[in-house]
Amino acid sequence: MALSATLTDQVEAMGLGEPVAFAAFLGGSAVFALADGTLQFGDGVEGRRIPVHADAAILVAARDGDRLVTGGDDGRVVATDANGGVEVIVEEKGKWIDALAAHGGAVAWTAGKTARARSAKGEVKSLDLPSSSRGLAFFPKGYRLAIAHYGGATLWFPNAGNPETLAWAGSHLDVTISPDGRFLVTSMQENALHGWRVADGKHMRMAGYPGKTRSFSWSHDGKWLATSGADACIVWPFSGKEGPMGQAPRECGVHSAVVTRVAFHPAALVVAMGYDDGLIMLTRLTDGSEILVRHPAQDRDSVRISALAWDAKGARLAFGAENGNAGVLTLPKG
Amino acid sequence: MTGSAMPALVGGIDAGTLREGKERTLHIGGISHRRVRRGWPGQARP
Repeated sequence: MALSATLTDQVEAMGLGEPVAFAAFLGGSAVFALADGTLQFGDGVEGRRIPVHADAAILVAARDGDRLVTGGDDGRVVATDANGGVEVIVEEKGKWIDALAAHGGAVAWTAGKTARARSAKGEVKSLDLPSSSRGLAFFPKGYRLAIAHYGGATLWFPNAGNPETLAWAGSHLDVTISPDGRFLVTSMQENALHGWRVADGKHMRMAGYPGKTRSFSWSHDGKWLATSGADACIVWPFSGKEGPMGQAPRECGVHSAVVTRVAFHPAALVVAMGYDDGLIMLTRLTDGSEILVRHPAQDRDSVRISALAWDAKGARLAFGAENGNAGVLTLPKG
Repeated sequence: MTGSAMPALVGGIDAGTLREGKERTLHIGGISHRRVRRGWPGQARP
């Protein structure tokens, strides 16, 4: 196979007309969650658009297998399957859904100062939080949640008793759990990450960001955490038992714009990076080599990349931007 | 594409990792950008 200078000619571009909140692959098709409350399945010609939050906006979304779960400013949490079948999971009247997570048939969400979890069997449990929350994640194993909020994070077994609090002063935004369940990392209002080793609560601070990190992605082997919020994709090493302690991160894809979304390839140490000028690149972690997927936009109005998602095999990459432009990269067969 | 095929593909633009204090030229979409990187300002700390 000949080396290609760019992958731009492998991208199928589409104009969706609404800001893209989230992208995923369901049943082999790219699906885009849009700010007007609809889901776009496939491309504009062959595809179809399904209203899942009528007269409302999709604020948050999460993929769970072949279901896409969305939360809107109508207070509804809705699960949509690959065939377009829609199930309303809950309606929180008069509230917005601030955060959402889905795993193994279970769904969790926050609305105001309350977190709720619905098990795969349909049983709903609630937890009062010290503040509103925008970060929620399931642990990879077991029915356990991490919830970011002001002053730290809460670990919660919805089927068990009292939750456990991991305290650290400041406002914690998003949260992610390492694939082996050993580390919990939050992004903070103070332009930093804060991590805890779950086993003993040991702290780790990861600073230096010029902006807020709003996108995380773990490598397929769980040894690296890619993050947004700088003029490069910042990748922290988590292979040792101390996590990234005492180590500096890798910087990939240095560019004159801020990285807004990151997505590790599901089978290789390659990370996709989207920027606030519309650029998308892939970079290989082992040597920092890069390849272009999408040129920066000519127009700088709302062109930031707001969604990135690989399919399960890592053969296709879906992306979307705040101006409604989107596309699917299909990698050449190697 | 599988992980084994990916390394052969990625690398079409620039094969150098930007080291602290060094300059390199990024070739993005046919446009050259000369960049000097100071390096990330910190390690993970307790």
